[in-house]
Amino acid sequence: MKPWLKSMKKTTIRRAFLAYFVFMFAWLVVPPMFEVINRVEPWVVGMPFVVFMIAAISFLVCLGLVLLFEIERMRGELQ
Amino acid sequence: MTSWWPLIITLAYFVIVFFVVRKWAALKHDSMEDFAVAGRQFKWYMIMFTVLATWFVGAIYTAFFSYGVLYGTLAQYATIYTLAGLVVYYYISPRIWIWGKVHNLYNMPDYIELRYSDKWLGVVFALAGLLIGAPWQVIAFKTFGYAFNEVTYNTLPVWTVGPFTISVGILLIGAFVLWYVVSGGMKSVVITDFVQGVISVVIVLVGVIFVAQKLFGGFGEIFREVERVAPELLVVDGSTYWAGIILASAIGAYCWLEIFNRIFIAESVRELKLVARGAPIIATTVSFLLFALAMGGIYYKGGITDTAGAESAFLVFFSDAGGPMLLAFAAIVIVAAEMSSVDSQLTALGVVIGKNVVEKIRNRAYSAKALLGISRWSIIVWSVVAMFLAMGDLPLLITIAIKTYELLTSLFPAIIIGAFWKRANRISVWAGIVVGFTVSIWMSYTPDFIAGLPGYLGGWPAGMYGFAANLIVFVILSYAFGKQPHVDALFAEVDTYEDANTIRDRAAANPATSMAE
Repeated sequence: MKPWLKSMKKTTIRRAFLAYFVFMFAWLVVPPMFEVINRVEPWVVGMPFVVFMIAAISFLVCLGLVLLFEIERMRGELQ
Repeated sequence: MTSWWPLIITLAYFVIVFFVVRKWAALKHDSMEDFAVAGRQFKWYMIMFTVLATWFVGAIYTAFFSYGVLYGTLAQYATIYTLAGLVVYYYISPRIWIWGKVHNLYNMPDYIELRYSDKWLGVVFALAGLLIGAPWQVIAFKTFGYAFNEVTYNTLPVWTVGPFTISVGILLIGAFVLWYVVSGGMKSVVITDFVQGVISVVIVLVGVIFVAQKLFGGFGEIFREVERVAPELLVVDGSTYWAGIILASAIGAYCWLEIFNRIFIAESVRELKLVARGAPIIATTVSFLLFALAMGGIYYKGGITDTAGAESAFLVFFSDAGGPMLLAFAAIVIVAAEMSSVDSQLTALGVVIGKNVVEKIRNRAYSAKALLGISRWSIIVWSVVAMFLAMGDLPLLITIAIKTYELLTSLFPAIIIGAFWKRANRISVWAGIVVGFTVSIWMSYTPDFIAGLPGYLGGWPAGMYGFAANLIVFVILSYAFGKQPHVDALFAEVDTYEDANTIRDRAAANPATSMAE
């Protein structure tokens, strides 16, 4: 584990990830941001753009949760 | 009957669940802790599938699926709010679990009473949780009748007694659920939910991919064909409404008694957090593929355009793609989803009525045996009433259910924000829920007013306006009156517990550091 990651405060890490999750969900629930992605073109991997973005953001949030868990595990913060 | 297979497979499924309960679930309980939170002993995989099974109600495959058929991409809101709910879970569950362990909490009203040191606030949250859940339990029993009729091709005899149409499906499945809930409490619920969760996830994942390939030629073809037939369904119409239903659902997720209760059944915080490695990806995949498949309904066999047809599209797709066998599996998925939701709801209902309503209102401490008796009889009486209501003609049921759902968002600040913010106090909670409930109810009867609001202010679900009003009042009064005297000690318990229980892991993760210490 990187020293800077080990030395960071527990709350700092959790808040940083929370900011990441909020930013990701903002693309889907803040109307002006959602309107940017709410369109059919361009098609990506066989999906309309908005459907692809829903899938991609969902994947990135899942990835974030796994990463947060692993960081907490490596720092020995799980009971 | 067209084929006996659906009925045989469904009955076989019930036999399996019956033997699982008999073998692994203790059917006699003398302690309230066993009945309410199953002794706080479950590992992450049990919690994960139980959470998934409780979360995915039967309506996912009927009403929600119909959104996918009729409104296309809009239905994906369920995928997003499910994920958002699991993120909230990761953050709140450790401290709620710790308070539960330290103070022997069983449910959300227990936590509210502890957090705000206010008995009556706990009673109000208990009653609110019961009222909000009640219509959904009636809907669940109705779904049992619907699914059983499908697997018997509507050949079961029907009797009409006054305003009630006696349904064999409701009576049979209702009695089965009642048996294991009343006798086994939370342990039998968790074990059946685990089995049902695993079976449902496997059937849905394999089944949806198979059906999409067989009937439509794959998911890519579905999107292409929808673009040709109804391109407007590929995008979401109304960004504020879309955002509103996601936020309202995500905010309300942990205000359900049965979902909140799931936190307390874990063996440790570690087990709770391990859920976050698997549940989000499974839930997202199942939900995303399910609603992508639903979009095919808009052009399937000339196009499904009526609500009744859209609600049965899931069963029709499975039946057309795999015949009676796959129809049976689809029916099992619906019944399992509803069973695993209603059993958790009923158990939480019984415990809350006994411990958080009767005991508090009568202001006396009951013995464990007496409390168990109250809980069990509450479950039996309400289930019988709900079954009869489900057999009646209740055109307003869904409307009542949706209106009560709007109220859920007003519970959020007290439950979730209060878990992290020391300043939140009993006065801010009381004032917030009164204002929030009032605004939610008023706005739900004034759709024209909502539609007339300018810009992004208009178009949100009524519950979101209630939530906003609640939040403003909550924050102002929290600052005005400040934290309650007991709060510092309560929050310190979380840090103390975490420090006391992470030493072993720190030593394992950083052996050099710990040796130096």
